[in-house]
Amino acid sequence: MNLKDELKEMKQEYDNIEIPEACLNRIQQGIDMAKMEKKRASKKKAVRNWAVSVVAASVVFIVLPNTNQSVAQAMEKIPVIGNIVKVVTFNRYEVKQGTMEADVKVPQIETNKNKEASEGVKKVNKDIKAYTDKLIASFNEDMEKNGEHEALDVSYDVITDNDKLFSLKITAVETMASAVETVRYYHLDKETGKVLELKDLFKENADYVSIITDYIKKEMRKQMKDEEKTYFLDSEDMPEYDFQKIKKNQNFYFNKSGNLVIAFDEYEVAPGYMGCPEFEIPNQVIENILK
Amino acid sequence: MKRKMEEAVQKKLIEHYDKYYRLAYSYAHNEADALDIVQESAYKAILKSDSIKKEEYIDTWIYRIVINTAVDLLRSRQKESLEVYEEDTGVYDKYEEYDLKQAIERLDPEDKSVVVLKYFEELKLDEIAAITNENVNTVKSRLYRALKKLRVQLEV
Repeated sequence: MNLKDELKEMKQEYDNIEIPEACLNRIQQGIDMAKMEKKRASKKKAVRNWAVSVVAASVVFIVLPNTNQSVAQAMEKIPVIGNIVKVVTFNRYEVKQGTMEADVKVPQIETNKNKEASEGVKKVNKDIKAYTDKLIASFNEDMEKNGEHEALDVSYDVITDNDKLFSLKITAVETMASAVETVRYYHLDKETGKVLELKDLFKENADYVSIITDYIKKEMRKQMKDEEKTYFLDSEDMPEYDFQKIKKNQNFYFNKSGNLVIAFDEYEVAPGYMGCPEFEIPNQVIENILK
Repeated sequence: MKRKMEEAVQKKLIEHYDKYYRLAYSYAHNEADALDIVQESAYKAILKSDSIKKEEYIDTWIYRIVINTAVDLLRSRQKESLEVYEEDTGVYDKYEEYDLKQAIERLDPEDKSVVVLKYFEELKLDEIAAITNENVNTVKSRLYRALKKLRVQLEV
């Protein structure tokens, strides 16, 4: 008998492997254990975040005077035109129907004089509206179908507002069976009136993507020594989903110490229980390539 | 999104549990181990369901988890049994005749996976490539090499 025929015969045998009664039950046990563990992990996360914020608050006093020099200087080189600025809730969308609830505050940036808003302000306002419209539409669609949305909550914060820079953070939390949080940052260079993206911080041709990515990967590996922390990196099961590199226009903002912080969405580089991971980039990592 | 993916994975696990069991059994050759593999795989799949980006990848992804889990288990068993047998005097019959089943068992785990997926699960080469995370050409040459090894062993 040749090999192919023998293999066919074995295939028969394979198909006849008896499935024990306990099998389905064992699958279910595996599923249940994983679900329990996920729940436990998300509870732990909440506690940890709280602890971290207490520590951070006490550190601010020490760090504040050492504001990141290079970033500050980079901002100084741009001429002053600033005319923003106030953020108003342009539109508020509130719904409550059965168990479904939405509260969306749509912010818009106002420029104070009667002067026309800059291109950057217009662009940010338009983007914000498009983004919130999309979230509301998907919520409404789901409500009609009696779908899985339970709540939608969109809020905003001005995280930086100084002479040079204006940064607005928009947080959208879509709660289905569990919540998904998406954060967007909009930055306006107050001096040029233009939207500021990550690339605008760096010298032309500087390979900021690789430099920042390398730092973040190192940091992820360091953090992963703690077993509770997981990032999509060096994974054996699904290496093709590993974090490759930051996007050219990756979300970012400056924290209170003036350091650059790179922000990811939930699920972008880590499982959901890790929340929206953020990485503070130390000044020495990028000082050579900053504008 | 996250919840949806978890549900999709769960549905797949429950719908096709027999497939995963057979695959596990083809590595373990005993019910107890095959059940352990299947349970462990279901656990891993749900735990990491967040990392799947598209529903159409679920199938290949679960296959991969089952195979990795099976191979890991066998490796640890092998270690255990080596430790036990080392103290033995080693009077074992080394002259059994090979049939195809044993020949397949003697393949490297990677080669064996390709044979099992191709001939028993009847998957296409590109599906196998997605599971083993290799490109199609690598899978092709792996399969070719594995078949050659099997032929040689069977002829002896």
